[in-house]
Amino acid sequence: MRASKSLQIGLAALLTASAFARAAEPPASRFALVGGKVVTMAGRTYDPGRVLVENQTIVAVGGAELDVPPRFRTIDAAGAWVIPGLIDSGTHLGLIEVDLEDQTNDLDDSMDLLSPHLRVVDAVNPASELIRVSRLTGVTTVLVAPGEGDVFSGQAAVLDLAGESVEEMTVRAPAMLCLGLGSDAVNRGRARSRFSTRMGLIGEIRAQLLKVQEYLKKQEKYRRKLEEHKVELASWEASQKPTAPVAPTAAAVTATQPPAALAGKEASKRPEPPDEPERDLKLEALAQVLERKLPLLVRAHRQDDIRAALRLADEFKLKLVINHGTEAYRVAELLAKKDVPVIVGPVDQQPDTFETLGARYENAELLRKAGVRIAIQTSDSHNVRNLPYAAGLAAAHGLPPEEALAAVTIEAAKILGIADKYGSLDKGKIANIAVVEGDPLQPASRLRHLFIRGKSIPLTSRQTELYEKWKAGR
Amino acid sequence: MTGTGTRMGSSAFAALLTLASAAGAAPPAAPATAPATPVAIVGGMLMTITRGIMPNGTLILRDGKIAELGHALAPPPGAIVIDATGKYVMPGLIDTHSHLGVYPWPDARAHEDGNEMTDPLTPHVRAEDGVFLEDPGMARVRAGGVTTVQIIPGSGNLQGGQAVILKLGLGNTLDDLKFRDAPRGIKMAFGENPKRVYGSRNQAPMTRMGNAAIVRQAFTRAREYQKQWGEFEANAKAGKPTVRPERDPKMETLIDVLEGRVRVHVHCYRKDDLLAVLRIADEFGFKLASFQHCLEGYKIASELARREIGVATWPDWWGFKMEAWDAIPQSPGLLAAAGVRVSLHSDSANVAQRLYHEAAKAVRYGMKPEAALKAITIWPASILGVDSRVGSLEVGKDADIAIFTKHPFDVYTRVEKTLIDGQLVWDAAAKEMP
Repeated sequence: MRASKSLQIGLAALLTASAFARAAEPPASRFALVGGKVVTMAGRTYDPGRVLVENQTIVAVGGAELDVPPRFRTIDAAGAWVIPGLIDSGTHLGLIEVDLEDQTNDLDDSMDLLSPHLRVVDAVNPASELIRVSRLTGVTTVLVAPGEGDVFSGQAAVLDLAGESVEEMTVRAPAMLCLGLGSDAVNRGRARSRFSTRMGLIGEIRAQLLKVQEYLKKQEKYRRKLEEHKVELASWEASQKPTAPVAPTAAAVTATQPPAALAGKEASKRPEPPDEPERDLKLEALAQVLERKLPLLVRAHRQDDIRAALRLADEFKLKLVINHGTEAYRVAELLAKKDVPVIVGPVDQQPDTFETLGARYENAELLRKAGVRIAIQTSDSHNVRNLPYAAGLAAAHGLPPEEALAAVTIEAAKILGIADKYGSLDKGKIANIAVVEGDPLQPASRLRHLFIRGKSIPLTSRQTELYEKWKAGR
Repeated sequence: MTGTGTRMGSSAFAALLTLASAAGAAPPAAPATAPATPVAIVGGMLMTITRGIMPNGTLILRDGKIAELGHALAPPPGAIVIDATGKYVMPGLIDTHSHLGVYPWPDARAHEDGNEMTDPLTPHVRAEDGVFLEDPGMARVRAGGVTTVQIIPGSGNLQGGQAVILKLGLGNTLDDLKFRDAPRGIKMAFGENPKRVYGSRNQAPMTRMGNAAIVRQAFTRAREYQKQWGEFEANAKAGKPTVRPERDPKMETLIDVLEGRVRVHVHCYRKDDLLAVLRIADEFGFKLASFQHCLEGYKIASELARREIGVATWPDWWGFKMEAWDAIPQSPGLLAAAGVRVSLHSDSANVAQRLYHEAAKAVRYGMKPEAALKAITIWPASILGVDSRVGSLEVGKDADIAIFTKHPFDVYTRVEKTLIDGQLVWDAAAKEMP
């Protein structure tokens, strides 16, 4: 009883507060992070540095000389690193809560091998507890992708990890369209007696993309016919207007209209509009990649699967991003030449399946050295919080530390298509900022502050609440 | 604590049981791999674990043991000298929860040998009979500085079978790798897994009630079996006519549990499951060596400390099933602070390569650094009952050593060398990661 009463009071207070917020324009929120090592990821590090934020935007970044106007609240970042909010380019956040409980699992539709029309935004749960947990190491922004078992599994989105609704969280949706190559997709095909080899899988993909081309042609033809129809209709409508009482001269008649038209029988029939071709949401979803409006994010571990993706991209002129790319280091030069980025990860990928036998910790560095653009992902849900550690592991295996940090900030933002507003501490960018006590790549470093779109994020989760409850011991 | 596996009882019954449990049979006494030439590890930061940190320390290894330990000792003449200047010298790491060899890489149905899921009670099966010695995971884990692993069956059964403790040396046979004279161990499991495995087949157990009932029934039967054999032997001794009972290896194993001849490691997550296991253990009078995973252990930390039950766990796995929902990364720190011996375990050949970073994560969430180091060395050794042999740098202990390029918690650290019984089994300078 007591709990529910206080809940009611709390709700009432919340409602009143939000009503207030709507009633009056909230005062601008302004703060300055002062004194930390500001690693901008835009080419400069200020130590000590300052970052000024107004509402949700970074308005100034600089060294100790940067003036902090009095209307900016000062937040002490001394002794800490101030870095852009971390971006995980491969997660399932919001789609899954407890793996083994179906009712909490919206990860993998898997009812049809071909589901390019599925959108993660239709399933993401903004109240997922995993979101609060993920933020506590400085992760602010994630690519949420559907499960990877199907051939085309749906449309991924880039989300900020704060907001009451998916609309509020959305940074970019759709961001990429997901395609699965390799064993998992082949297994799904086998289970449905559709195909049972990599040959069959690629055959199916080509068949679908050709279908899309046909569909697009049909749509184009329809649009053309529609245009023609408009013209015909207009001229027909004009011809139906009562003719002027001036008798046409013989010369005019000869010049403009055949004598038969004068009889008026054919011309009086209203032109029929062309038949509209049936719409197909799956093909329309795929059309976005054929029209290069969306990159195709291709799950591929083995180097031959990566090469298959490159062949498809050549044939259909696709914008490609490789997901995982466990053996991408074996195709590094080709990937660099074709400017196909790789979202590396999990970095601790092991030779634990037949298709990951070539797994190496050095993958990220070998790719970077060859000139391939890389981002680093956790490929996780519950432990997205280990993103800085994933970057750290790549650094421990050769990737220069600043490149490792870039792979979870600015380089990730570029690959996800959000670098105009995300990925670095730069004037005009969204104020996603992490303040970390020590090198963010070190697993023992703790988070001091986190800001998403300029708002201070409470560093709590159900786990910290459980800790508070039980720390005194029983 | 060691050696219980080979202790011979005086009665015929005890002898019979010992024979039945060849898991504890002693392999040849002298380690064949111990080099005759002494080894001196000089100049390093000795992380002794039990006696603090010694800068510029020297370790002298002889006959597979740590022969001397001190500040800037002179290497004995003719010794192989390993320069560890600027490096961190740790005792070899110990993993109490490994499935190396019973779930080898790469995943292949033909190689899944860790879960005998044909009966919820299979205490008689032994992990050692399923270990695939060519598992490439072993080399990787060794390259992560791990020298001792307890390989246990999976958690599909309530009593999954017996553990085997290996040293990850370069031997060619199981006997080469077996940790000599290590106590026997058994894996039991409670909670979701057994009830899911059998419940989904419409078999018992389908509920937690079923889990408990089946285990109680098994131990009750074991007591009866023991009584029958006792009567038989008494009668036989007295020359009375008697019928020899039929032997049952399952029951023989459970009697070993009841008599304290086997260390019991129970896979268990949720607080009420942990408490249920304690009730059953009390009822039948056996002790637990550890709870494995034990994600809600922090909720009964003082009880676990009072009973001296170890906890083997991860710092950050959570949420993959309901019984993992209340896992918190602060748990290892809370448990250690309450006086519980914690083992940061792997349950995976991936995690096992970086147990030292698991320790670093635990520190991030509040565990004291000294405790986190113990949680990958001496505490797991103690949980396995081999702490008189391994788990710290002390004179007389086995020469199982891991040399780190930086502090083990540093993300940039690498294991440069691993030695087992004084023999170099991993050398980063010599070759690439296996």
